[in-house]
Amino acid sequence: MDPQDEAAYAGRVRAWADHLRDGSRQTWTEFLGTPAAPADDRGGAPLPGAAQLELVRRLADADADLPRFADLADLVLTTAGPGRGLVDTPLPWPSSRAVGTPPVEPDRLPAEELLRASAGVLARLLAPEADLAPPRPSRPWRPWRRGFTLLGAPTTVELVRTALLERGLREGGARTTWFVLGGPLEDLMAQRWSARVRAGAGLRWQRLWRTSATNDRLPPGIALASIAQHVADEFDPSRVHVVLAEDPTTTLARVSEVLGVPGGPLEPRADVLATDLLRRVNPVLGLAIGDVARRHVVDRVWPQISAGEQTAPLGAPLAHLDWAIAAGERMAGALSSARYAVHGDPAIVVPTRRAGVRRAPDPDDVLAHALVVVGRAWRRYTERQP
Amino acid sequence: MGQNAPMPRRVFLHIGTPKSGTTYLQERLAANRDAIAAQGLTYPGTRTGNHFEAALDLIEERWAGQREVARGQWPALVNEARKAPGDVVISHEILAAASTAQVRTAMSAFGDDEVHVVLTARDLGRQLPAEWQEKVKHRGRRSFGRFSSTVMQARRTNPDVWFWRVQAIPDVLTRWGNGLPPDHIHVITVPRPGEPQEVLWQRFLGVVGLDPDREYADTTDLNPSLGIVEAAVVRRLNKLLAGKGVPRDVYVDLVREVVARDTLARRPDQIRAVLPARRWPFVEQVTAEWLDWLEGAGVDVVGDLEELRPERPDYTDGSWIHPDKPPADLVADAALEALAAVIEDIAPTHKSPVRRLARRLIRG
Repeated sequence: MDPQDEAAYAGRVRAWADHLRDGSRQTWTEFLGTPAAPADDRGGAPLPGAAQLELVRRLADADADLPRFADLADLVLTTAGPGRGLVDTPLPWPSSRAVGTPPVEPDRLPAEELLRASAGVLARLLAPEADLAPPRPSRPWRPWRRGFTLLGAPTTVELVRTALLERGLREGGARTTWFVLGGPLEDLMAQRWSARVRAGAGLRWQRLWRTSATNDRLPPGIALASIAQHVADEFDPSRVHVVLAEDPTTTLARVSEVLGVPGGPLEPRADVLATDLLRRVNPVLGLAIGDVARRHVVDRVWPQISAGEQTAPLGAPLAHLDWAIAAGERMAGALSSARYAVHGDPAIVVPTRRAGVRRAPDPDDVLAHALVVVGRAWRRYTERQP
Repeated sequence: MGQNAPMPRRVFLHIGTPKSGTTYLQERLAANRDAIAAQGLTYPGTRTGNHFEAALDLIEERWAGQREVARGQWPALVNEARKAPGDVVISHEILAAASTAQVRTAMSAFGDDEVHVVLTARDLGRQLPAEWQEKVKHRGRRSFGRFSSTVMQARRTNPDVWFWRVQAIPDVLTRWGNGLPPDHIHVITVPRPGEPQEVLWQRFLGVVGLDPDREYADTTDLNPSLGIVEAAVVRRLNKLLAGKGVPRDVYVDLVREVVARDTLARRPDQIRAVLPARRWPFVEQVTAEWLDWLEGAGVDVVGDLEELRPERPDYTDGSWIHPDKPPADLVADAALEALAAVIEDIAPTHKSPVRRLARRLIRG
């Protein structure tokens, strides 16, 4: 491009950015088809990136009622996408350079690029949450109540724990009853993945499986038979119960039966997309505000990050399915011959070769979820900073 | 267009990790102080020549009584750095241990400057044995087996576990990167074994903005590692000397320097400590998490992240020896060499305690 053409290109990109700031959903190609306004000279200010521009467009497309949209657009346009990816992707232009990064239609950018940009934006929107005081859970001391201790599948543990505390039971204590909660192995791995990511890891679903399969070892936190065996060896095996179920309501019913309290319905939690989004935000947010603050923020905003997800559970990646089945069979075998109580059928832990199962998060789905989460985070942000 | 604002001064804080070639880089910086100053980068001098005392003063570790000696050295180093005409590099690997509050203290000293954090990093499979033998050189008596199981059972963000405090890359960078733009955080990977140390130096030069094509004075590694035979000698010595009241300076002078650094570490054909096969799952799992973190964090990676992935050795060819079970005859040979070196060292002065003391004082 000659300098004059370069200036025309820059002017057009800036004009599109302004148009998007006003809430337009026009693509770059559509915008190029409209008459050009007079040249816009803003000196040497850097041009916004293609991913940032397209993210603004998608945000407007996802939610036309976002408050102070121009401010959100400015925030997006000035936030670099963290991590590794395409560098300075130019937009298509009649006289594009033959060298350098090839131009890409912004609406055809890979979802991963838009997710990188979203992760940077979310980190900026969530960072101020660190200034709010962390919530203090109330823990009434009721030594006369029956005690329970839950281990195993992390999300199920959280759900059942909350339900039991609401029923007035207490956690721990000298005569506690130990429950090791579990279900299908792929669900256990998904829960483990979610817990690790919320604790700060930037781990991918596929990587979790690859590491476990390569080492032929399940993550210790969900190795149900080993956990139950350890507790039975340390304490009284008659107070150890492994509870296997496909959903949290059945798990709660079985636990409640042992403890002699009423069960009740529990909403299963789907958080595949939220987990895959958070694992991208974690390192950026941690660097921005430190790990302790990051934990507080995630504890506080996790319900908003994961709300509204309807995704089906993930299956083991195909490359590791054989290992998953073998590991599941080993676990089921160990549970079947145990000297502690097992509630539920151990066979449910073994994965099956079902067709039509998603075996990794789809970046397009994660991006669609990210657009909703950015919108929610922006609303919270504007409420606190009117 | 208005007048250009002056470029802020850049302060490079090279914070670790220990056993990742840091001593080599520091020696090389010191040996080339004038050459790098001519390019606008100051490696500030201190009363001991390096930044150990300043780092110790900042992180407030006891360090066998050295903390008292080091008091006031961090502000002194900051003063030196402030006097520098251009960019500054501060380097010590124990800075990796700083808490979030200590990092804030460190950063507040450079409020108007553009601070860059630099971390040299080596794969965890090599770091575990390397940290163990480093502990042995600091009077450690624990076997490799006990050391590694303690480390692996600990929470990786537990500030009481020194190994993770200085080696857990995401945790160290999260403490130090608090609020810095990710592109001001540079992770330099240490090349695989067999590659020249010069590669590490070149990577470091690139980060701190020095000319890589210039000639720089070379140095020898003053903190070489011990093999399993040599580490066994020092560890047994440590056990025998425990509770005998040997003062720190005598230990440093005779054991760490004469025996370990100048004699045992120079022995040819050493058998390197390598993790037992059953420890690899752990190492690979932790590494996988770290790599995902580093890829997502957007920090500047210099080198290749693949170099942080440990290479599992071949355990089937029968050459692997457990680090706690080196061949007894080799240990006896090494012990005798160590004894000979000590005798040789004290021989010229053994009749004159005054001369001996004077000699130690001169050595510092």
